[in-house]
Amino acid sequence: MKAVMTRPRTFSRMRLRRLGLVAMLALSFLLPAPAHAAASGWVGNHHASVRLITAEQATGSAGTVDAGLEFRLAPGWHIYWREPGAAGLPPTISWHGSQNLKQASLSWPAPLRSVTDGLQTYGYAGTVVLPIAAELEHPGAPLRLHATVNYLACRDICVPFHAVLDLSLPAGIAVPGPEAGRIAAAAAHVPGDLAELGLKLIRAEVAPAGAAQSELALVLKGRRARLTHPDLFVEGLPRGAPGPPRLVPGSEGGQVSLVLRGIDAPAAEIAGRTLTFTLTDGPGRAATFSARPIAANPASLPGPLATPLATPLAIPLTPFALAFLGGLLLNVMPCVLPVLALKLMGLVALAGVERRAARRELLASAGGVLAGFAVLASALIGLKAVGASIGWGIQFQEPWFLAAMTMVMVLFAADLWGWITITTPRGLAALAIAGRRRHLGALLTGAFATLLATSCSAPFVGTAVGFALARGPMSILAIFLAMGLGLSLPYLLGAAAPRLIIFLPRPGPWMVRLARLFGVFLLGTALWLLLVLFQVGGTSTALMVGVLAALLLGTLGWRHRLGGRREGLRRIATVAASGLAAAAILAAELGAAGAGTAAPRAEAASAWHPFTQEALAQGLAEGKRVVIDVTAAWCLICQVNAATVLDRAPVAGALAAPDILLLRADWTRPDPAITRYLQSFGRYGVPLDVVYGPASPAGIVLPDLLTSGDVLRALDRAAGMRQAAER
Amino acid sequence: MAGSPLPRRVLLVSLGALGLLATPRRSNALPLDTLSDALERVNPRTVPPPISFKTATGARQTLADYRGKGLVLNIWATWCGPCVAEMPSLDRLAADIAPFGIAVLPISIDAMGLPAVKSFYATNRIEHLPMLLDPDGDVAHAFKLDGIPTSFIVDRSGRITGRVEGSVQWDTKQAIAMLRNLVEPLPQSG
Repeated sequence: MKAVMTRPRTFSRMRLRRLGLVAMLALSFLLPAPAHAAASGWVGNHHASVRLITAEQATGSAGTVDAGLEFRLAPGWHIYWREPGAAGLPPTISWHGSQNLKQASLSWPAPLRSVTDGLQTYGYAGTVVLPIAAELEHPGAPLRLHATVNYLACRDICVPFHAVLDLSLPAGIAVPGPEAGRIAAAAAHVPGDLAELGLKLIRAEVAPAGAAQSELALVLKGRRARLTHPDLFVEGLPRGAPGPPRLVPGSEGGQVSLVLRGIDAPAAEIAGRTLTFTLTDGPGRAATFSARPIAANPASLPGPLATPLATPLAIPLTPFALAFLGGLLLNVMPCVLPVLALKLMGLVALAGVERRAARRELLASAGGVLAGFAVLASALIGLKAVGASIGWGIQFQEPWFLAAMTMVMVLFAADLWGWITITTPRGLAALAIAGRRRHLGALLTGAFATLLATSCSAPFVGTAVGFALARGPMSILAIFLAMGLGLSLPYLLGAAAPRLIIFLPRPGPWMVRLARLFGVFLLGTALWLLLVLFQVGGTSTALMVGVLAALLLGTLGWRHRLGGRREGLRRIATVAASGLAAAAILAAELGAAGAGTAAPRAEAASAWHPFTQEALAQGLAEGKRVVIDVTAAWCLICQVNAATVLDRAPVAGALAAPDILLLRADWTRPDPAITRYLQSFGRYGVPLDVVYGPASPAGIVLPDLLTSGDVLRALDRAAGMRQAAER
Repeated sequence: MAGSPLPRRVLLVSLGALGLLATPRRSNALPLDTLSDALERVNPRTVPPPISFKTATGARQTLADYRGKGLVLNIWATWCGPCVAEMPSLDRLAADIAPFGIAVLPISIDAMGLPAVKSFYATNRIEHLPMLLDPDGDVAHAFKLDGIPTSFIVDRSGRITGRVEGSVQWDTKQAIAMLRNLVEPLPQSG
């Protein structure tokens, strides 16, 4: 670039004359003028000029001299940062012709954003020093800096400046010169790392916004994550210079998100690319860091408005319909199956009773389901309010819950075997007296059905729960109740038309046999819960709870054997049983706390690797297809998916392709990283299966209940056009 | 409710208002200077320095290649913010003013030459402007420019009649009328 301006030459001549005058004055006062100044002369014109400065007046004994390039810009004029933005050029320096200079490294203080004619540019205005660390070839020897500086300064026109600067430092004691403070101040404005701002990068995400544009979000966390007026500069984008970020309060405590909108490149081009971010927050507060954004859904990016805690009930109807449908479908999901046994027994028992009583019983069960959902919703609202991360089925991550459910299953089994009586379906006469207790039993059955149901997701449930949990308390409650309504619809239908029950077979001896069988089912559920507990809380915890559960069963059996004969012993047995149940819950909680982290799931032989965001980003960067399976030991649908689709031909064969990376996220125990990943899809529960690939960097979300066809199609789609054409 | 006429009128008016909002604005969203404000008339008209520049095909051209036409000569670069800001309006001007025998010649002083200009034209959908290159900055040097963008209005007899420093809104009716006026040679009276 050749010099375009002519003014600087005449101007510097004028300056020289002035400098001469100063020199003559100094001489006339016989002041000991320093042999070498710590600054070169200014070179430039009245719009922009530049000079070299050093912190010390001599080279001293250190190997490095702190120097700087000082720019002086007239009002309205600016020069550019190393990344100029939509237009502009950064200053360039050649040190050719310097003496005793091994290397000079330039630092860039945090830039300022300016918007001129609608263009976002990043640079400096006024007076700015770019710090330079000048490394000497021979420490202690004199230094001659000879810098050829080309830079662009703009206001309403752009002027390329060309300046040749000379500065000599003698050998001698490195006494700080008058410019030392300016260099130190500039160095303090050079961005450090995020930790210096008290922040940590949680993740970077990019989501498509239209065909050619995308949005970028940085989620940051810190104890004092209070950014007052942040700005964010990105280097490494394929093109375009985004405007200032929006600051979005995070969903979790201590989190904030910075969202850049309108990036002129598709998300596919940005995902996996290493970008350098410079975050500034007022003078002197700046950090530079790199991140590789992962592809995300547009909906999952932090919105422009923080979700208020109390959203009014202005929710569109669809989420309700979805929640209702999801609830209805939960009736036939495997997780509710054991409770289905209880339900069936209840219905069969009702076949003989009066219509009004049947109706009441059914309504009580429905009430139990609804109460269960209300309790769930309240618990989640409470957890959300205190900033805990929440999700669907998270109670299965708690050892005490698993222990309690195990014990409940044992109790229900004992009930079905007639060892104890939770409900007393013994004819009309008993109904009048035991009516309340009966209803309590039905209510409890309903509530437990709900708690168990959350161990799996059903179609629509994921969407509805995701919608609800991202919103305020009223929405959570409303959506959950809609789901409860769906789950209890069979009861409600029965209550509305009790005649339906008449079609069930009449009670008889077969009922006793069926009850025994269902009791075995429930014990199976208890075993399954113990297995989950083994993975959540560790071997010793599971063993302890298992022994206690066996003891409980034994005690109840013994108590039953005693029959009505020995009232005292029976009482003791009852107390012992209660004690055992309580002990199991306590043991689970204490045992798990002692165990700390339980043994990880044995997956040595598996082709699945543990999920991390980094592994995903790296897989994508290598051009691989990445399959993510978010699962949990307690999620029955997940197990069904694995057993019937993922681990079986033809899917297992397809997944063995060399360009496929398999990542499994195990949500059996609480894991914030996995919770966040789920939330990035607006999900709050498992299963979640996502297929990424060159053609689908944002991921293809598979349905909750997998089919081989779905998985294979998604794999093909993720591979993109090229491979599809090869087939 | 008195009847339907009032609501219908309200509806029509609202639709009209919506339509106005939805109509894409032809001019740039951000106000650039008007030509009449930014124009420095060159009086008496002067002969430009001998300059040459390259076309996209590598052919060398001089202003003599455009004899008889009025010219809007614009010296710019892709790294220059104000230049970039006025390019879309310059592009529209080229289309609007061509029927009057006036050519718009943007000469890029990008050191990278054609690739830089080509990619800029593509991303900014510049369709009516030629790609003219001066990668060594000779044109800017010959004109002794203070900076860019600087534009010169050259009349049909090849003399400079006006000079504009900085970016302006080129495609307004007033600007086009002004340019048509400026490029007419002076009557041979004195």
